[in-house]
Amino acid sequence: MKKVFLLILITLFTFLFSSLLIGQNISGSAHDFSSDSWNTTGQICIVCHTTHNSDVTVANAPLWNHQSTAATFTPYSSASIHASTGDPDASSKLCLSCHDGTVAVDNFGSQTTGTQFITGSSLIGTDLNDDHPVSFTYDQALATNDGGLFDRLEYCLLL
Amino acid sequence: MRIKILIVFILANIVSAQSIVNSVHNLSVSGSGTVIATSEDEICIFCHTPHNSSPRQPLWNRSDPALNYTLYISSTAQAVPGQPSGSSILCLSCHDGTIALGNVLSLPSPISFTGGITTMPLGDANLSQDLSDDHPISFIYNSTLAGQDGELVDPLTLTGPVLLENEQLQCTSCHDAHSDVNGNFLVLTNQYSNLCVTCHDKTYWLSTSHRNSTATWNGTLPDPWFHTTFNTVAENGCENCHDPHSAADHERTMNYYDEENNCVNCHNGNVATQDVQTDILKPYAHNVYGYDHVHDPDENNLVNLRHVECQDCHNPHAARNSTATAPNANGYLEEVKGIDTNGNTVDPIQYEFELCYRCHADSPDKPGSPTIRQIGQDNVRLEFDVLNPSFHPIEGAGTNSNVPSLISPLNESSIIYCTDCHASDGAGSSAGPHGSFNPHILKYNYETADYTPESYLAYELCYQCHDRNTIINENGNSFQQDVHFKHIVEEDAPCNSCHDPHGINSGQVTTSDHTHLINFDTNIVFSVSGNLQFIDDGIFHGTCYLRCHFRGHNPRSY
Ligand code: HEC
Ligand code: HEC
Repeated sequence: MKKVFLLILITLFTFLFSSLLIGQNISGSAHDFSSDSWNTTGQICIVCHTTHNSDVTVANAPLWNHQSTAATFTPYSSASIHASTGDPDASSKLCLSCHDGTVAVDNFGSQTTGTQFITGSSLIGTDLNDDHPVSFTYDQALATNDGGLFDRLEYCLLL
Repeated sequence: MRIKILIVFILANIVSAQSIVNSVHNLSVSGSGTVIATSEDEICIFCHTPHNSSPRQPLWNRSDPALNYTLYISSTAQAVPGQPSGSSILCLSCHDGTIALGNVLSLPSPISFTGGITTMPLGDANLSQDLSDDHPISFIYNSTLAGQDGELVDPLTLTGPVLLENEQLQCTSCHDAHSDVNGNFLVLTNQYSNLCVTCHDKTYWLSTSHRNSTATWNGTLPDPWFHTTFNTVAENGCENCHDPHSAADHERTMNYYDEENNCVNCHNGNVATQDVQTDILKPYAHNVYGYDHVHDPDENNLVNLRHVECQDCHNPHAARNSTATAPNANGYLEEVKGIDTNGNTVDPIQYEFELCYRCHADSPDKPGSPTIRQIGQDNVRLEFDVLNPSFHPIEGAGTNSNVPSLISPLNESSIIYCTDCHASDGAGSSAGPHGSFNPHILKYNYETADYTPESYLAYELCYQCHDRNTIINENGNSFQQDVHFKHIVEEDAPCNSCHDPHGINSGQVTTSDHTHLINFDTNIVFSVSGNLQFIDDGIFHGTCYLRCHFRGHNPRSY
């Protein structure tokens, strides 16, 4: 038993390390707006974060500096789903503050008249009915109820 | 410690067969099946996408196939299948073989598969767009349907694992694409037909041998259970005869196109003890091989278009190994339709003869009588009527209260079956009129030609019940000497020349001439001075007007 545990630990560590080393960070990603012409600051983080006077529309938002979406969303629904989906909240709402297409990407800081809107395959829209459900409670009760879901504890240990 | 146990438990769970990962539905490069992608390592992507799904539920990542399927049709189904809908159309986006497996909405170009596979390879998993040979899907299955059909469970009682989708039966009612624990992604094992009987409540099924027999196959080809892994008749249940997909005979999804093959591939000595096939192949038989798809289970009780299939006489959902006393039908004839003594339909039959009357009574295409007689009648229902002047006791006890030749336990009040005379010949053959080396599917030899030297074998059939020594007793009473011994032994006249073994229809006789089954064979017995007649003068006495073997009785009495 001890050996198995050790083996799992080693595997987990190796996995973590390698992802730190080879995983790409934000610079150079689709979210690196430092060299976009509309971002005169030339900073990466500023489009989403600010160190002071952050936006608190969305509960627990991480020092948020981007205009939050006020759209009404159609959540995913299905006859066979057991989770109850409502309006997106928390970090999902933050993502949708660019990806729903109602708020301009360059509406950050005090800017509210931005013109850069997401198009193409990255546009999720406000109709989330064709998207994987988000912002639902995923607990042991749901896993048991559904029968086809991992218990969250199992799931965390898997990663 | 607790955590450690938990982790081991979790890992075991993941590698267990419950997961899609180890099933042939893992089409990714890590899949274990033969149809897998060359490099795509996502498992869910072949069916699901997290965004921009279509149809939206269940986050579907594939295009719908065109709806021009050939649908299931059957004369005995009340359900009305429509073009595939609901989740069935999702399954068919791979399983009808029209759309490349790697064609997913979320990728600009199709995922490539090993071996250059694009669409579903031909085989069991490719159902094609012809769904007429598959169990029907996409039909409303509600209490009304169950009521109309009479042999379906009320769907309100279905609580899983078999589930309907908006009251409709879909592929997902029987299959769960994510879990292959029961094989074929079935939601429930079909061993003992567990899955089928969740919905199908066939009358009498619980008592039939086809559900209960533990008989096994002796290994001689053909394999009667070619599409299952089960080893007994009971375990195969419905699948002994039915094939839920790509069935050879589309209607009612039968294993074989030729009706009889569904039966004889077990009833050939390879599974069932009795080799019915060998009997059927004899020269005089109810030749089920002679007809193809004339029979329909929905046909009238009275057969209008001459044919015979095993299913005309046997109900495979009800037949069982049990005996009965005449005239009652035995278990092999459980739950079959017939025609009663008055020519009315009965369903099911109570008496065996009612089954025979489907074809041998009022049927327009019935076989004719082999002997030309004074009074001709091909309708055996009329020949055996208990109001007739004489008849063999099929429908009821005979009229003659004095038949000394009867061999015990038979007596004057006995009733016999049609199958006491008409049955497979030879020791150890199958019961019932399957086939014989004797004409008219007679169980024993029965000579009808004039000038047949008397012997036990010549009239073997008659002598089964009528004691030969009593019949032709040279030293017996005057009747035995002058009538039977004289004619049968000395004149070599066959029983059939004077006696009509079935009976003489009362509607065709005006006098009491035709007692004792007397109805002359007019190719042997001729009229004298225009008169051909037997007059019953009481017990063992009679008078005949006839000419036979160049001698005239005009009249002659005994
Ligand atoms: C495109 C928007 C975006 C950009 C650009 C961005 N972030 Fe974030 N950041 C988020 C969102 C959304 C979250 C909350 C969700 C999450 O944790 O991923 C977050 C969370 C964080 C958190 C965690 C805060 C907490 O309280 O847990 C830190 C730290 C953070 N970001 C740092 C940075 C830094 C440093 C940069 C610049 C190098 C940056 N982020 C750029 C969107 C962004
Ligand atoms: C400040 C606006 C903004 C926010 C907030 C934001 N994104 Fe984006 N995201 C973008 C833009 C702009 C793109 C690039 C769109 C394009 O290429 O058309 C993008 C692209 C992406 C892509 C596609 C990446 C690729 O390589 O194609 C993903 C996935 C994504 N975002 C996820 C998220 C998630 C998850 C969140 C929240 C945690 C989030 N985004 C928050 C603006 C944002």
